[in-house]
Amino acid sequence: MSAAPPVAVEPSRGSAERLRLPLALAAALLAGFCITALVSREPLRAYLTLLTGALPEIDWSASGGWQVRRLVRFGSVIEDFITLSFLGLALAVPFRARQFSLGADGQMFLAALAACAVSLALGGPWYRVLPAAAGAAMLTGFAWGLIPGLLKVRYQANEIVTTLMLNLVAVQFYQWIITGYLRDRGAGYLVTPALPAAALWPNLMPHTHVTLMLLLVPAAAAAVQLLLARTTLGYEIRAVGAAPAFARQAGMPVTRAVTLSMALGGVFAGLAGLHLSNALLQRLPVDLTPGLGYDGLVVALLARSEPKSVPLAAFFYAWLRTGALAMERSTDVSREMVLVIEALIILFIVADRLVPPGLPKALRRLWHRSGAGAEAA
Amino acid sequence: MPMNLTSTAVSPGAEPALIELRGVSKRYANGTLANDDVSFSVRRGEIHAIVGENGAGKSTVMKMLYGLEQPSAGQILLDGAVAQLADPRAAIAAGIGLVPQHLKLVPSFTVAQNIVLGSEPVRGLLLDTERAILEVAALAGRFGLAVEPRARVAGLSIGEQQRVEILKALYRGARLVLMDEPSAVLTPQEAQALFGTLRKLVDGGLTVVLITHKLGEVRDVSDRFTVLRGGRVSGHGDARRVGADELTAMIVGRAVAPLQVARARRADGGALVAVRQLGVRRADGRRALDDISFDIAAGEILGIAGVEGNGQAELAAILGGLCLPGEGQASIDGLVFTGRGVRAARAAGVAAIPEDRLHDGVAADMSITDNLIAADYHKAPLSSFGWLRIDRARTLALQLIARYGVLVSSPDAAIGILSGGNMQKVVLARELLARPRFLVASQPTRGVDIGASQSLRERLVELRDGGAAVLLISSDLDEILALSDRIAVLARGRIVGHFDGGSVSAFDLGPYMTGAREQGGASALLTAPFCGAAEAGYA
Amino acid sequence: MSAVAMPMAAMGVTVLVAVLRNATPIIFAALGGLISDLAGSINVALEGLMLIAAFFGVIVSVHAAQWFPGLAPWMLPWLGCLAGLAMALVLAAVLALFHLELGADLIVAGIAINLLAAGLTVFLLVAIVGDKGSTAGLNSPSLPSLRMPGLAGLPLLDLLFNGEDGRGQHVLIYAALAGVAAVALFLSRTRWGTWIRAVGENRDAALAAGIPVKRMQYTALLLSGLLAGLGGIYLSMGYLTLFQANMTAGRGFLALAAIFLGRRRPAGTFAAAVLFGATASMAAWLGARHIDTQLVYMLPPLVTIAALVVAGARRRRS
Repeated sequence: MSAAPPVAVEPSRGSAERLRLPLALAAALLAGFCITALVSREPLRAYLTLLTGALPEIDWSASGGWQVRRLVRFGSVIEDFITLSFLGLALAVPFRARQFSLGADGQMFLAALAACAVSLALGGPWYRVLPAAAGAAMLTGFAWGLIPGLLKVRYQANEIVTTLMLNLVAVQFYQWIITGYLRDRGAGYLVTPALPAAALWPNLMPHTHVTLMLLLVPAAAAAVQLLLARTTLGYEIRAVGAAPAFARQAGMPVTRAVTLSMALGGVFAGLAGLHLSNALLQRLPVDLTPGLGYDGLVVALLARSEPKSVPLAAFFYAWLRTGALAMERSTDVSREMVLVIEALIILFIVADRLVPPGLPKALRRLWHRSGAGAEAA
Repeated sequence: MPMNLTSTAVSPGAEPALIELRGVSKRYANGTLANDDVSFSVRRGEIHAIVGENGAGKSTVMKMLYGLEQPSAGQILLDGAVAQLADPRAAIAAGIGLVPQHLKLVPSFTVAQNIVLGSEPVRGLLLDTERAILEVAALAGRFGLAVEPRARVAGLSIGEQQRVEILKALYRGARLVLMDEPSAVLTPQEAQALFGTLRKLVDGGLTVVLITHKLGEVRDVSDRFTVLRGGRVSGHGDARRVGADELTAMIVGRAVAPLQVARARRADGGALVAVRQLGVRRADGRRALDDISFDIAAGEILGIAGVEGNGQAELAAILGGLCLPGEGQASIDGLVFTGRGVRAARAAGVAAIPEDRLHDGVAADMSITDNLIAADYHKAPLSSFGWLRIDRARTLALQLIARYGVLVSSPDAAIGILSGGNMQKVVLARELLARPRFLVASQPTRGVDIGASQSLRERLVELRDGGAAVLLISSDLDEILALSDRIAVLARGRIVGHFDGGSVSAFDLGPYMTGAREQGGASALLTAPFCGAAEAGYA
Repeated sequence: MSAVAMPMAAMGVTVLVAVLRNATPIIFAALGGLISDLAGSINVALEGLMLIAAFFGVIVSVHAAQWFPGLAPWMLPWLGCLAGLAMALVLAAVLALFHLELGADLIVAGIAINLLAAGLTVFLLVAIVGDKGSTAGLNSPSLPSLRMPGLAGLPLLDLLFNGEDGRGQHVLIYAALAGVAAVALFLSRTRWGTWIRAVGENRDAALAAGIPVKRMQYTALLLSGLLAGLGGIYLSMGYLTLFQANMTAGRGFLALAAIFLGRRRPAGTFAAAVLFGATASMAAWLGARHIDTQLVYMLPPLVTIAALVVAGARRRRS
């Protein structure tokens, strides 16, 4: 297998590149619409709900003044946004080094477990428990991301296979620990005890699980951006991803950069796990569905592995997911349609030859001929 | 080394040409004119050599004959009629077969499976392996080629694998076999066997076109030859009657007025760089470098002349710290720097301009600044405790861009947009940043326009005059002759000649480069003797 | 046979049959993945291909009675099987198109196909059946079992071939075993199989030999779709006769692991798939003996990683 992650390693240049993203999104939404139309009686309404369902309703009335409704639904957008941002960063860092590490799922599961265990075991005030839980989550993510990195540089073990396998192991381990050791015997189903209040992140929006971790998102994105742009390690990661032979020729420590890129990605998956455990769910069920890591893949692809674009891509994606929930509630289209659209977005984004080479020029000519005047970007 | 194989083919008298090129030119999409009005003919039943140096246009002619490229002008005639060779399948249908330089065999398949690949005999739905083996054995017997049909290709020697390639072409009914630099990958003994094979093929009624740059193959194996230089035909004739000097003159030509470069005085004091008994093997076990020893004094340029593929890449890689030598070592001022990695070599004062600029020399998608700091980013002043000083990097980039005359508007632009010459200036700027004491420059002006080449060469001389040692590895003889204080010729992984830079010409170097001549026990130590231009005649 | 050996042998046979039952879907998917991997196109979409075939098999076999009222009842499951295979082929074709024509990265596209299948199956499940979890409410048929007559006098063989209830073993189990032989034969003894292997091992050599490389790559991906589809059909129309959301549960990835473990050979892949099937059977058995099933399920991926490490270490030594 010689696949390299489909990442525009440095900011993409050329009009064909810039056209590709909106074209891919449009194509995916269109294809999804066609599929919806086949099965639903009201495809147009369903799609509109999908695209707008996450919006809170803001009315003004003379008697009641400003009223904001459906804020809770918007809250779930933000909750998803936080998780997806961290997962997007978790994949973007290895992608920049041209490493196809798909281990975010497993890293997140184990990190959530670690955060939960530490929160339950450690008593005391929030300034003791929270940092400990966060540290445990990030460390676990780092370690679980380090393993495939080491396997790759020492044994040339393909990171796609190892990370997929480690995901499976992680989920089993998670289930084993919860079933055997962290179980709340009083609950009616297999779940950990609820986390003590001191271990929970402070809430920002009532009736939602939006917590202070929201503020960590821009901090995390900025941290990754700083890492890549302003540290020697980040420079090495970029160089190894852009031109590995060049990096070797210049004497850069290629293996160290590869390993660390995967481990650092794990740190952010760990933050996603922390979010799951100490903010969103506040106790961990044994049947937590794996697969969120692949949503991180979409986010990273949409953001072209650029850290500053990850939150935007994560928000777009969280928006769609919540819209899908609204769609399911008010129309006959189930929310899994968003998975279909997600898949189509991925397919269209990585289709390198989606934009026929002549298209940007042709479009530009059309633009000029229609007398629009201004130079097309 | 002479290879006296007498031809038993019928002397081609007034027979019609099997294949003829008439006024064929090839201009690539990027503007390069690879072939210019090439005309020659190949007679039936002969071994015809197409000779020339690297870049002379031989491989383009071969590609056009095999349908891999189409001529921009002119015609190719087959049996007197104009032939349209649109792709290899058309060429195969027309009876043309190719034995490529880099063998294209499936390693886990057997000899027979490889030979019949694509046109396997079948019995019903299943492969008829027995019939394949019988057919292969019969074919091999007919042409006297020794192969074991059931053997796996992965375990065969290169010479044996090449025979399999030849049989592949024959199995598809080739009447004309194109052989692309076949002896480049063979030992002398294997080459000898190959040429015997070619004679047998011709005796069996085939015609062979041999692409080569080696004099010996032309004079001792071929019947007739055509010489290409700079994309044009510069000579042709009867291979058995042409003299070595005459042939060399056609291949190498007169040197274009050499750039006048002031030569350094013969270095006083000892060697700055000392390389002793350097050797390394390739993956298949054959020697890429054998007992290489040379010195370079401070303030001296040693030129390594030679046709590509004779060990230059391995030499540069070892000296640059990228790969371990099998034997031997290199040192600067007594400090050994080989075998310890790139950063150790750089710390010892070694810098390198890589041969493949786009692959190893630059990261095309990264900015010019990022490319400039690649070797020194981890040290002060460009970084401290892992934190990059972007501002200092950018200032440095602006300074270097100005100093080296790189034509670009901003150091933030991606380096990939620069021309070859400007890119190479950036590479040189980066390598010289740490004030190296030893620069290994591989093909420094390849793909670079005249103006930038001139300026790059001036920088090399400047570096030398500042007291550094420079190893100039280049297949551009004019460059070697113009810049080098001393010249060593590398052939088949060994130094075969040591020359004084000021008193030789391309004509003198030619025979050593093509393997026709060799200075016994040659090395390029400071004390080693030079070959004179007027040595006794060819053996 | 002695009175002691008999029950033990009978238990052995039962275990063997259980192992084969668990291994069958993995065997099919692994065979499909093997073909495409040998052609140089690793297919990570096996999971999704299995899932879509499982879904459409159930749906079509149930609804075919309404669409074609005159059909004999025994034909319904086969129609479902065909439909499932057809949909798996369609998805495999989408994967191939995006990769070969539009230049999409094969791994990412494969992951996308998995997501597509997961989403599409549940989406359609809700739309057609109205239930988000499974088709348990429907009465979907299974493909027939094959019975071997005339084994009354040989109790062990009768148990092996006809099962405890005498109704025989599922046709797809036989098909899986036959499939191993068929794929081995295809790869080593037919033209197309040889061409597929050549394309995967040395694309330049295949091109130079005049092999239609792209066509071979398409063939390989479509064949992998077909075989993975059979694995999926077995899941929903074999031992169990229903479709459940995400019922493949990672078997597609285990199939990939089996290919690696089996050194990319039909026999080895089969052995590895059986090993993984045994793991699943063992989990239940060990669970009764207080060994946690999760630990058992960790074994296949860990073994795969170990195999990769061993291979890498061996390469380093040489």
